[in-house]
Parts: sequence; structure tokens; C-alpha cells
Amino acid sequence: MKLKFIYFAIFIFIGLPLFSQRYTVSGYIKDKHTGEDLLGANIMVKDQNIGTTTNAYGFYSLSIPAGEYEIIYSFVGYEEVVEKIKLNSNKKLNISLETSAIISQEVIVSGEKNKNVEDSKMSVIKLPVETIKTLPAFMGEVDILKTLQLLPGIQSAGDGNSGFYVRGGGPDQNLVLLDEATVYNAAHLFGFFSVFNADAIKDMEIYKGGMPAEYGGRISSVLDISMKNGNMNKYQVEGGIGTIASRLTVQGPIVKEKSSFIISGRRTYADILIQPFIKKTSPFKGSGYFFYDLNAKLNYRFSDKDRLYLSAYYGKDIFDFRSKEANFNVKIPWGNGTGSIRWNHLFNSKFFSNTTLVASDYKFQTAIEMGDKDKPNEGMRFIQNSGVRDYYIKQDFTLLPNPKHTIKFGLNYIYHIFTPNSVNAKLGETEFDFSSVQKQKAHEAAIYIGDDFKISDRVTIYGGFRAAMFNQVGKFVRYVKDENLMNNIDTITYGKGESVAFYDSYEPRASIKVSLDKNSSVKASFMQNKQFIHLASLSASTLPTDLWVPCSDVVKPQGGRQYAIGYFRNFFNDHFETSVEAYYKSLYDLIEYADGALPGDDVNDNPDNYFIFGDGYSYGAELFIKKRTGRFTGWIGYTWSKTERIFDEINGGEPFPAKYDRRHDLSLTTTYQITEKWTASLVFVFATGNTTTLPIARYLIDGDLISEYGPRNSYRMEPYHRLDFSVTYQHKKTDKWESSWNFSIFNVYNRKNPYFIYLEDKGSVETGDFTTTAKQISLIPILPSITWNFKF
Amino acid sequence: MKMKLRNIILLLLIIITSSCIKDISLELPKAEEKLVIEAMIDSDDYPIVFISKNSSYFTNIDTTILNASIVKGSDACVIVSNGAITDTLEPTIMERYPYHGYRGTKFKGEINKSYDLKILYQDKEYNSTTTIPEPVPIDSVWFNLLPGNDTMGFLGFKFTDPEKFGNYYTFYVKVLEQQKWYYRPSFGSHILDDKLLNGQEFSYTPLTKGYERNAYYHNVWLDEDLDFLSLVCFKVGDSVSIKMSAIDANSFNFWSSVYRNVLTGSNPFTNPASVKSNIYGSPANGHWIGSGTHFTNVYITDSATLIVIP
Repeated sequence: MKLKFIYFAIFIFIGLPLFSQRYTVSGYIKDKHTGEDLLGANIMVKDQNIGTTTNAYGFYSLSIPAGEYEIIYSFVGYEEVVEKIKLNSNKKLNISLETSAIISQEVIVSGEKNKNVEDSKMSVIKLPVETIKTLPAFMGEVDILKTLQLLPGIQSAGDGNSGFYVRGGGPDQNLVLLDEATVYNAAHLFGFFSVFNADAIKDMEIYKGGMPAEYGGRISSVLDISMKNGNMNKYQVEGGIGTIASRLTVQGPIVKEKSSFIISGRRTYADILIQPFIKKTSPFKGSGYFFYDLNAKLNYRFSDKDRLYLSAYYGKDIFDFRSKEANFNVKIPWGNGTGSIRWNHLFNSKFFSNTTLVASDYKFQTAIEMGDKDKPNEGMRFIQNSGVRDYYIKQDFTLLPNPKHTIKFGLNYIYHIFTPNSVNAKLGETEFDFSSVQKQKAHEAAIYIGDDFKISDRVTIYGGFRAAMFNQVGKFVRYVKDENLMNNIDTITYGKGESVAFYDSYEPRASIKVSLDKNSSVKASFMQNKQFIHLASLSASTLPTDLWVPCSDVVKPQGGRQYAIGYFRNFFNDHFETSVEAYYKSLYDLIEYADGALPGDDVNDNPDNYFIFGDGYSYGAELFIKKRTGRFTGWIGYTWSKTERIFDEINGGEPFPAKYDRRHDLSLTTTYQITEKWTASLVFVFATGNTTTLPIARYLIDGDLISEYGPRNSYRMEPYHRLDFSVTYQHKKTDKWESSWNFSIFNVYNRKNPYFIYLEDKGSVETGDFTTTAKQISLIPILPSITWNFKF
Repeated sequence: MKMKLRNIILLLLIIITSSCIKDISLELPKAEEKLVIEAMIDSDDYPIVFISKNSSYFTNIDTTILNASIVKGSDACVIVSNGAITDTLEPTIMERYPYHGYRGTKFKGEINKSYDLKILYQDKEYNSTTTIPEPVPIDSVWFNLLPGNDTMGFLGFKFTDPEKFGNYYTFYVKVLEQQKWYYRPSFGSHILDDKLLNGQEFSYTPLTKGYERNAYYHNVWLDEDLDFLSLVCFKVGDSVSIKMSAIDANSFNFWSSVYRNVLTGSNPFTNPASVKSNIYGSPANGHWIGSGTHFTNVYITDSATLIVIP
């Protein structure tokens, strides 16, 4: 009854001709061999300008007047299927597509024919993992985040920096979802590798702007990553042995056509390989670094109406330093774990529901132990923890009343537990525990609705609205500081469950597409949103030590507003896709650590007492030229942009460039299919140098040499540029066995790209030989690697 | 074979790591010339002011440059006022860098009083205000020999922080008859606040000997030619004066930012920390600090015990 009412209300709302005789054809589209759902596959009604695409679960639905039709099912890299149907009642039509025989020549960057021109969405890019796998891989590890950073508007901050930056937004402003679960730290080893093992990933989609209303909680972008479901038809083993890591994936049916699983693991082994070369007597025996990832997924199809998915990810970086002599041991583990349960339900062919339960956890720990194991009462132990844990419940509905409308609505709730910094120490027999007061708990919830409305053949609009709230609750202790932030003058204690801070957010989203002709369109979009968490970074580079801190009684949510306009055009029968987009983005209530804040400040205090608050803005233009088809494929992305921040306490309130402000950012990615067996690819990137703050003068205070710094981020380091090259040799494929060799060279011409600059003093004043030299540190020289991949 | 492989790996490692550092030349914007003001007024003592100037970062600092950056004699006019009396400080030769300073003659600092500083230099005026808080006494002092050494060691002392929040301290030491100035201890911080110890008894240990820092611009503990222990340790037979002062929040803020500046200098993993000058009026670096001082003098006897000198 209730459901009917909702239906009715929505129909009235969008003024549909309720009584016209329409029927619905709906179903799932999947890969014929593996049974994997195909996301974003195209469904077109021949000779009618009507079509749709499959959703994130491979489901489609199309309502059209009664009649006879030819429906074309297509997806990149697959053979087209044409079905003739006579529509006089609602029809279920599940389609299996066969991989195209000429797939290797159709290495296609994204998408479906003309999709970029026709879609109402803008600033969104979809990349199938197969595309990424042919590109040069750093140390042989295929990396989806690295590939992402080759797209216009998406930047890396250079070697040794984890995180990515979208249109001038910070690395914390990207919502990274793995099967709907939030991943807080997407990088291993300071960003050299991402946590996403490409073998377990099906595809990914990134929104740089024009975020639909179903996404929220981050203000710059959404990176939505889907894990593979597992082969529904047969067992399959796939893996790779690489220079620094190896991977293994096993997938297969549990019950054929009904249920399947996939499990995938990866581990680096530099620590193991190096052990034989460290003498047993070495004082550092046992030291090392490694990371690993585990992905697992299970899905069960109860019926055509109900499917259940269980996904899990667990990954860790572990740095271990042991010094026997000094009885000294430092262990630094950090990593994520996520788990999600999703239930898809079809109420009917026009009404789709997805219920999601998620748990997500990110932890960073430093454990330092000193002293003799035999003398437990002496020595010291220091353990510092930080992290975030989320419990998430989400209900999404998709309603497809007719081909003109795609309506999505839903609600979600998150319970956050933040541990910004907790310290537990033992000195001799004395225990210190500062952990209890530090945890910050909060409720976050949102409701949304959005409609993609095809007004005419030429005009499509999207309108959406999201309302969100955030409520920090006790237990919590606020240390009230004096005006100099020097002293705790008071403490405010909040009891369990007591409200500490409340914020709400109202977020309109809109976009419009106007087709100029068959091959070109103009689009514009607007989005406004807020995010209730911040990433506080003490350092000039992004490190796993950066703290996730929630809004509180002193920290407001950060907000953003983005306007974008773009022109999209395809040439030569869609062989070439081009687009130009321009954007303006304003950001407000951003945080930074106050000048000279130190990690130790957090002890017996709230970390957010050391924050300063400010705003920012970014504007730029992005050019994208892509060759979709043929033996020679690839793209050029170029971004011109300017990103500045304004903080009262920095530079006397004058705007200053963000550290990743880039005037120019160019990337060139090409793949050439030489023969059926050989493929070569090349990547070139060029980016304006990062900014940094350097001292410009110095003076003596009581005999100490003090540095006087120039304006914040006023010095620009040398530009970043790099060329990578790789060739892949594919052995002759058989039905049972496939294998390939990948040879990659990273940084071919050994460019010394700056990581940071440091200043070194030498000599003494007395003898008159006191000098200071500036030194630049680079991280990655030319690095060749070999990987052998197999599949059976 | 294993040996060979190890050598190859080692060689590769050396190539990789050495290729990652290179000298570069930086073109930095020209820094504005600023005065560096070190001004202090202790309880029961005349105000003292030192003035020098900053220099461009890559200037190869030597004694000539240092001497050239000193502001002395009639170049500047330094005025201190206690509200009732205005004292124009007289140029004086001092026993620490910049060796030329200005000293008051008309009044000494008094506890719980405020003092205004005014400096006139080349048409510019510089101002600041400070107060002298109530001093806190040292309760006891002790001496610890270095392990395995029977003449050298460190001092330690105890004091009790008053009940109310907001006490800030500085600690200086001087070996009587050997050193001419009160120096900051060579190790650790010479400042302390009562954020974590309000109202409690606190032990400061080890208290190391200080030295004239501008004589060494590099890490003294890395210099092999230096008799490092003599530089930082007290010896049996030394008479030592410990000067413990109470300062105000602004002054603490200044010193705290100095430590942060030194700690974060050239460290890529922190944000650079600027020193928070408490001089206003015209842009200047430096401080104007009032101290409520309490002196404790001790003599380290042959048996490495202490006698408090009244």
C-alpha cells in the first residue's frame, strides 16, 4: 500500500501520461564466459532514439509503447547482440554477450559509442581494468590509481605522495568506494602502489564534478570501484609473478549460474628476498617492509529478483625495524579493512532496490619498544594509534518509469568512531594511558533523490537533492585553550551519547546536456556539497600518518561548490572522442595545522585545537582527446589550472598557492598493437613543479640560527616529467591456458624529479667557512621490471 | 655466487640512492631587511637590549657579516618605561654576541609590573610590552655523575608549580668564575609550561651546562674535534648558578616558536614554523621578555655532592 503511494506520488510529480499502453523489457547483461555482470552496457531500440545502460549490478530496464522492436545490446569489447521482440506484455530478457574476437585491436579507453556526447553526465570517466592492464606498470604492478592520474583534472602530487587531487581539491575530498565500502587510505608505501589489486577489480568510474545525489560525504570527487563477482561457469586461476610482488586469483562457481566466488591476494616480497643477504649476525636482522592485499567476494542469485553479494577487502603495510644491539624495535603497521553485504531486489521490472551494510576500518599504529625482554620492568614501550571505523547502512532505490526518466532515491546512516591519536606508553613500571579521552564518535545520515530526465532528443537534464546531517556525540572531553593555544584553561566533559556538535547540509545537484548534432553536445553542471571529515596533514607531503578528524565543536564541515561547462565532440565515426571542460570550484572551512604544530601536541589535548581554518578556490580548463579504436589507441589529457587557499593565519590572509597547485598538467598515453602477440605502450607526463615554502633569511637569537620563511608555498620546485615504456608479449591463447610477459621501464630517461628540498649547513663562523647548500631529493630513478602473468 | 650477487645488489643500491640527491641552486626572493631585537628585563636588574639584523639565507655567514649586522651605539634609540619613569638605555659593551648592547640605568625590574619598550631606528619605531611574573623557587638541586666517569656529570632540580594554571618558566645556567653569561642548557628545552604538571612537583633533569651557541653553527655532538663532554657537562669543583625565571605567556610563545623553528627547519615532513616575534610597530624579529628570576647557586664538591651557596 505504502509502496503504491510512493509510486503514485512520483508519477504525479513528474506528470507522466499514466494511461498510455507501455510495457517494460528488463533483465541482466553478463559476460557469456565468466557470467560477470556488465556494468554500463548499452541497450538501444533500433530506429528509435531510445536507449539505456545497465546499472552497477548489470541490470537494465526500458519501458516503451507496445509494438515490435529490434533491441541492440552492446558493450565495448563484446559482440553486439540483436534481439527481436514483440512487446505486448512486460518482458524479462537476460542477455549474455560474447567477447569480441578482435578485442586486442579494440583496446578502448572507455566506453560505449558516442556515450560521452549523449550522456547527461559530465566530468565523469569510466575505465575498464583491461585498458589499464596494457599500460606501463611501475615495478610491474598494474595500478588503477596511477592510471587515473593520467586523466585531465586528476593529479598526483609526485613520487612518494599518496592520494590524488581532483580539480584543486585535497586528497581527503575524494570518496573512494570499493563495492560501496569507503576506503580511507587507498595507497601502499607512500603512494607508490594503490591498494587495489587489478586482478580483483572489474571496473571503475570517477566523477570529477557533477556528482549525482546518490553520492555524498566528499566534496571533490567520487571514485567508484567494482570488484569482480567471480566466474559463474567455471573455475579459473589467474596470477602474476613480478619484480617485487606476486598475485594469485581464484574464482569459480559455487552453484553454476547461481553463485560464484572470487578470492585474490597479493604480497610484496622485497623483505623476504633481502633476508639471505643480511648476515645472521647483522644487528638489523629481521628488519623489513612489505604489504599485502586480500580481496574476496561471494555472490548468490536467489532468483531473477534477488541477489546477494558479500565483499571483503583487507590490506596492510608493515614496516619493521629491529636493532638487536640497542634492544630497539619499531613496528609500524597501517592499513584498511572493509566488508560489505549487498542485497539487490527487484520489486518489479521498473523498480530496483539495493540494501547495503558496510563496515570499514583504517588503522595506523606506531609501536616502539626498547629494552631487554628478560627485564620487563625496565625499558620503555610506546604505542600510538590512529584510525577511523565506520558502520554503514544504506538503502538505494532506482525507479525507471519510462525511458525518459531514471529516478534514484534513498537514505543512509553511518556510525563513525574516530581515533585521531591515542597514546599508550610504559616507562619502567609506570603505565601511561592517554587513549580514552581521544575517541570521537558521530552519527551521519543522508537522504537523497535525483532524476535523469530526457526532455527531448536533444535535451537531457539531471536534478538532484541531498540532505545530510552529522552529529558528534560523547563521551568526549574538550580541552579549552587560552588565546595563545598555550594552556588548557578549562575542560568540558560530555557524557556518553550527549550531543557535542550538530551540522546539516543541503546539497542541490544539477546538470544539463544539449545535443548540437549527432556528434556533439554542450553540457553544464552544478554541485554543492559538504563533508564532515577532514584529513589533517602535518607534513608537506601526504603520508599515512595524516590524521582523519571529524567535525567537532570547533571544526566545521568543509564545503564545496563547483560549476562546470563542457563541449563534447566525436570525430571520424567516433574513432576520436574529444572534450573541453572548464570549471570553477570554491571550497570553504578547510583545515590546516597551525604553524609549527608538532605531533606531540596531541597528548592530553584535542588535535583539533591546533587547527586553523580557511577557504580556497580552484579554476581550470581540461582538454581530452582520445582515440578509441584501431591498433593505435590512447589519449592526451591537458589541464590548465590554478588552485589557491586563503587562511587568516597564513601569509597575513593573502591567497597562497596550494602545494599541488599546477599551472600545466599534461599526460600522453598510447598503446600500439604491433602484432597479435606484441603490444607496446608509452606514457609521458609533464606537470608544473609542486610548491614549497623555503627560508629566505636568517638571524641569531641567543646564538641560535633562526630561519625566516618566505611566503607560504611561494617557491616552485622543478617541473615533474617522466616517460614510461612497456611491451607485452602474449603467448598463443588456448582455451585452457593464457600467459603473457610484460616488460616495463619506469622513468626511461632517469629524470630526477624533485620530492623535497633540504638545506645543509657546513663549517663554522669562527673559521669563516660556514656555507649552506640546497639539496634536492628525488625518489625513483630509471626502474625496469618484468612480470609474468598467467590465466587458466 | 652469493657473495657476488650481494656485491651487485650493493652496487645497484649505491647507484640508486646516490642518484637521488643533487645539489641545486635556489633563486629565492630577496628578504626584507629586518631588525632582530633581543630585549629583556629581569626582576631586580636593569633592562638589557641587543639589536642586530637578519641576512639573506644563502649569505655565507662569517664574522665580518655578523659584525656588519650589529646595530650599536647611537644608531638606535632604545627607551624603556615603567609607566612612571622613562629610561633611555645607554650603549654598552656586552659579553655575548652581538657584544654591543644597551643597558638601563634608571630603574630595575619589579615583580608584577609592566614595562614598555620603544626603539627608534632609521625613521622606524618598534614597540612591545611585557610583564614580570612572580618567581617560583627551586626546592632542591642534585648532581649525577656520568656513568663511568668520576668528575663530570649533570645537575637536576625540583620545584613545585603553583596551584593556578598558566605558569611559564625559563631555565639558564652559568658556571661561576668560568662563564660570563647565563646560557640555555645545551640539551633539551629551557622553557616549560604547566599544561601537564599544574600544581605538581616537577623534576628537571638532566640539567646540562650551556655554552655560547653562536660559536658553533653546526651540530656540536657531531664534531669530532670538539671536547664535547667539557662543553655540556658540569665538573666536580664547579660552582654553578641556576637561574629559574617565571615569564608571561607571550614570552613563552616566543621561545616555543623558536624551538619549533629549529626542529622543523629543513624537515620536509613538517610545516615550517615561523618564530612569533612579540615586537610590534614595524616588522621585526625578536622578543621583549620580563622575567621574575630566582637564583640558586651550588658548589659541586670533590665527593660529587652539592653545597648550596647562600
